[in-house]
Amino acid sequence: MIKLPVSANNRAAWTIFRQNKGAMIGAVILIIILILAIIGPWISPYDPARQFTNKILIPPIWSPAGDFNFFLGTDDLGRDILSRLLHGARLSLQLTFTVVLIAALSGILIGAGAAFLNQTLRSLLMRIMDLLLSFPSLLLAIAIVAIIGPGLPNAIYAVVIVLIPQFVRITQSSISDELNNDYVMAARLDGASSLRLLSHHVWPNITPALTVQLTFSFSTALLDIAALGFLGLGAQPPMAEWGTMLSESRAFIQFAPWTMTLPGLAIFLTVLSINLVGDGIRDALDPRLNR
Amino acid sequence: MIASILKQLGTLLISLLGLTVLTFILSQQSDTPIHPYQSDSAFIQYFEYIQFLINGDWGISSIHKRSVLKDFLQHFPATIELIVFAMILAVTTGLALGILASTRRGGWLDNTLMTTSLVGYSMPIFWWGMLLVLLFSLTLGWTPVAGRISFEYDIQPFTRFMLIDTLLHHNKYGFDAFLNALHHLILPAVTLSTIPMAIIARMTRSSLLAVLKSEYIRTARSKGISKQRIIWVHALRNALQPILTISGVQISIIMSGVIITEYIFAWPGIGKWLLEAVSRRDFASIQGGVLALSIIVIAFNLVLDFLSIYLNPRLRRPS
Amino acid sequence: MIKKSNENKDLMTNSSVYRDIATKAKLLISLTAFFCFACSPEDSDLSEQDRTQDLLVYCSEGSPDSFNPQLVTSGTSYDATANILYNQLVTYKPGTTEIIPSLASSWEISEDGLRYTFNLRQDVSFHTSQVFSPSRNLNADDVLFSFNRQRLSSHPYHGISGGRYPYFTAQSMDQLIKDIRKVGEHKVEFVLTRPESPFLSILATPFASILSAEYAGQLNRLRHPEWIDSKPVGTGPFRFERYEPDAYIRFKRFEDYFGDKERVKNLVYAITPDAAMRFARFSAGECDVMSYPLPVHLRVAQKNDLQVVQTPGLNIAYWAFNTEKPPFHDAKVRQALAMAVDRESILQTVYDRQASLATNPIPPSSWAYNNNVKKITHSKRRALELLKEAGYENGFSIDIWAMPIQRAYNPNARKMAEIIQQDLADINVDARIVTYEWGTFLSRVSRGLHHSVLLGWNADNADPNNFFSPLLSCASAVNGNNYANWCDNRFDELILKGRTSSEQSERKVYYDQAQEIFKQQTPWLTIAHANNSVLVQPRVKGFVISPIGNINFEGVTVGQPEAGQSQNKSQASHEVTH
Repeated sequence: MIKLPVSANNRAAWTIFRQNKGAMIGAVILIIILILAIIGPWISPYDPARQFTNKILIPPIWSPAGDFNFFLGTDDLGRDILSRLLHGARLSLQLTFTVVLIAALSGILIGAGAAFLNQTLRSLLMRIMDLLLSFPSLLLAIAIVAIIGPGLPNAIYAVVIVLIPQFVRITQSSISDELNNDYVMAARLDGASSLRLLSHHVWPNITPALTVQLTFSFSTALLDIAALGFLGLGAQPPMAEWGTMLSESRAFIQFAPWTMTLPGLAIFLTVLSINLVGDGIRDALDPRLNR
Repeated sequence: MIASILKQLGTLLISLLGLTVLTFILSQQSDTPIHPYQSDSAFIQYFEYIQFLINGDWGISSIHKRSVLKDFLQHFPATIELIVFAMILAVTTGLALGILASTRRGGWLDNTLMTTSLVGYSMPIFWWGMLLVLLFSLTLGWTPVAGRISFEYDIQPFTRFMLIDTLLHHNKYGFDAFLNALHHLILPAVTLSTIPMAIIARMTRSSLLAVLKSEYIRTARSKGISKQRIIWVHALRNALQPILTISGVQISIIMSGVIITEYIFAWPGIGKWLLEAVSRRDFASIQGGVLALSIIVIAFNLVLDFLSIYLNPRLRRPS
Repeated sequence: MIKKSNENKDLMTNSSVYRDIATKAKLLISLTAFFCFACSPEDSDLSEQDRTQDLLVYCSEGSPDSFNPQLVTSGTSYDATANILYNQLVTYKPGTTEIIPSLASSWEISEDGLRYTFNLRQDVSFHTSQVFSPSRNLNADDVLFSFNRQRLSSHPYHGISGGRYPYFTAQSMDQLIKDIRKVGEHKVEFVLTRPESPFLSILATPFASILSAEYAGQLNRLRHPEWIDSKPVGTGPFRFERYEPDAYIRFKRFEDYFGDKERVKNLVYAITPDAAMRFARFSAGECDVMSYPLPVHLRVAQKNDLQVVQTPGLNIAYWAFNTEKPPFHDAKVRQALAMAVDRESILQTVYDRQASLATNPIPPSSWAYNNNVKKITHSKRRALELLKEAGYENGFSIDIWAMPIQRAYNPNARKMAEIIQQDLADINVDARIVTYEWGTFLSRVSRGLHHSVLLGWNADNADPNNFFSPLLSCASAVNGNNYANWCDNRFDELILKGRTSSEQSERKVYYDQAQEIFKQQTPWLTIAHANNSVLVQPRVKGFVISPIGNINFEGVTVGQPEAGQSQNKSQASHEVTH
């Protein structure tokens, strides 16, 4: 699941990672969540949109008023929360993957291109990226959604735009650093092409930094998509998106708290496990930071 | 140094250009133009738009028919009050936790604190805020649910900073109103401060550890200076540099956070105002709100950059 | 301090706790308050009790768009103005739809129904504000000013604050009112172009509020005419004190009010757009009255012995078929779809039974209601037969537009659409749910881009015409709220006759026939008439909700919460939180 760069250091990194208790716990939780997201539609007891009109706001089964047919209870429309959470897991993770993938690809491309631009242009581009980076993501998303209207696709564009600068920055600065290294200079003097330089010399050396950035982007993307859903700017009901489920549950916070706690817990656990894994990877790849 | 400053100013210009283009596009979404333009060409209208902005005419809200700039200024103090209070909370607690953790490095306290900070860092604050309301306001009844002050206090808004305004009404209500306002501030501030607090705690810990490992601290230790003195006098001062750098990222986290927090607690600030404008398609207000908030973020970063340059001329690029 | 409040179980008088802390912490805090000059808490001019006793907090659902009801059409703005700051010539008896005198003490209607003469009360004074102290009582000039500002484009105040009077225009008042004359100092005559039997009801609506001509003159001299709409002066039971946008509106009791009902000294509208937040504030005792509770809130409130003030509303929620778009040009298809929907399930899930099933476009409380119209029966089999007769046995695809906002008549159109979607799937009709932001939604629906739409209507006045003409007439299909785009000449003729005849019994005959035609043609599936409801704390006395829906705080008082009461409250909140 975690793609570590294929190099001699990998085994060492893996050893360090494995010794990190927090990271291992995070990895286990994350794997469970991923499995649930993949097989979710098959194991979920009901269609997430199906409404049991006479089973409204049933509490989870550990409550005395619970119903065995609805393990985690039902919402205000009589929809099974477990089924919605499982479908939501797939939806949320799919979205997150898509967003991170698009952002990472475009970011790396822009960053790699920038490394070969002349000084002025590069510094201009980097300034713009810094600017985007320091810009509050939600404010940017609000501006974008205001222009193109609320809805899931538009929210996704917004989150992608917010994530890109991180990748550009890391790629560009790592490549610049690498290009100035002696061994790259030597290869250059030997007449190696830019492309060859990138793929053979530079790329293997910047993958660790990118891997770390990639993991943290997952948690950012997941949180941002959920936040937009929560504010009514992202996924719209009746979609079983976690943030949207949370925002729908606000009306019942006092008398049906499970409709609020469960989707939130799902978001929180996923983000926490990604961050734990991210911390672990960072420590493993960069032993200098290791405690 | 002059070159750095010039570079900063260049950045500022680009930022303002990009920003005004964005808000100009936003303002163009409105059904009725928010400014009376002379020209039909969008290009020239942009310059007219800049002219209007400079003259302080930020348009009239299409819903409330009020001046956008005035509306912004009326809502802004509530947001600032919340941010400042939350930041005080975040910085003091975050620093304290970070120092505590670094001095007990590897111990159970360090582990607990760092796990807690990771939990805080991973917390979706829209959920966290709701949990806090559910527990402290609705179940225990310890804190108010929403608003800035109870309505039995009739507070004339002089500064629109509730804490200050309540003190100005001291002769009418004593300190009751002030304490009441403080009471209303607690839960939103805790919600907002959670993530920055976790980040500050982690940053403090790791940069303190890095400094403590360094040559000159070791020398100081070997000279027999106490550990406490080293941390407080030598290490912390050096560790503050990276913490300052990361504040630039913090402001964007805080700004995003304050929008969500205001939404959850019905806090009558900029975030809630902006969200309401979005849901009502009030483009004049959206445009003005995005513009003003961004200018604040840009200004904040600029000050921060100058501060970095001033503190450390060798610093060419923030890491 | 936290412990203290818990021990007391005293959620509603938290302030006493603060006082306690204040005394304890005074020493410490006085040090920090060096900039507060020579003032001690003992100077407090209000005791703790006075503060809560004379204060009523109303958790409202939004900010008013303006403080002049002539300029707006939103119920939220009316609630903050029409019965609070202003009065109209006539009004409704509280809680009913019966017209009673208000600023006009009596009136005469000419034989031909074209002349209405109103005698004004002479003892009505206007509010005093920071920029205005009235020198005279209400007279005919004020009435003329209020109507002519909206009516005459040459009026000096016509163009102030945008110059649009949406309600006045929508009701075609400019075509109806030929002239308004000052007959005496306290006597005004309205001359109409045609007889209009709902005219008195129309004059009881918020846009007919009376503003002060003298104040307008004063503002002209100050060169701030626009203040008339933002610093309001009226004759109403409360005077405007302060508005903090999106936070609160503060009103003070108007001591010289001509009415003699009891009122609280301080009235605050706590603006809380989110229904969940509103209920949370209400259950924490932060507000005394809560607007637009969700059905689920009502259920919890009833379980916990909170006051639910309810009345059948003068409203309708409907599913309109765009009759200009096939297959909805065929009445059989419309009937089939109407029969396919299980409205009982909608009543249960969407309204939580806080509504009644609708048969006619007007609610049963109206005198024009036709009791003989057959109720719509839910039958999948019959629906399929009808579709077959119409030649659509293989089904078809449509879209359902669901309004994006919560209204009393339709607490959740989205949810409603999802239920209908499921029911339609059973008769091979594939439905797609469409929704937009409210403004966009309305403009697109007005352009007829929809196949079918879930909407509703809240009457502005009690006359049945207020349902028929704006929603179902041919004119309103062209330019108005007839979202079925349905134009039936027989129906149109009948409602026109109903509108112009003056005898109620005669009108009833026309309206009865119109309702029969409506039923045959089924341009809408009538869904429900929702109850208007408001949640009220036990300490509030005398709150009455009007069928029209406008909020009124005349005659409402608050008592001190008894010790036992707050005890109850915390138990209640425990029970609800499980």
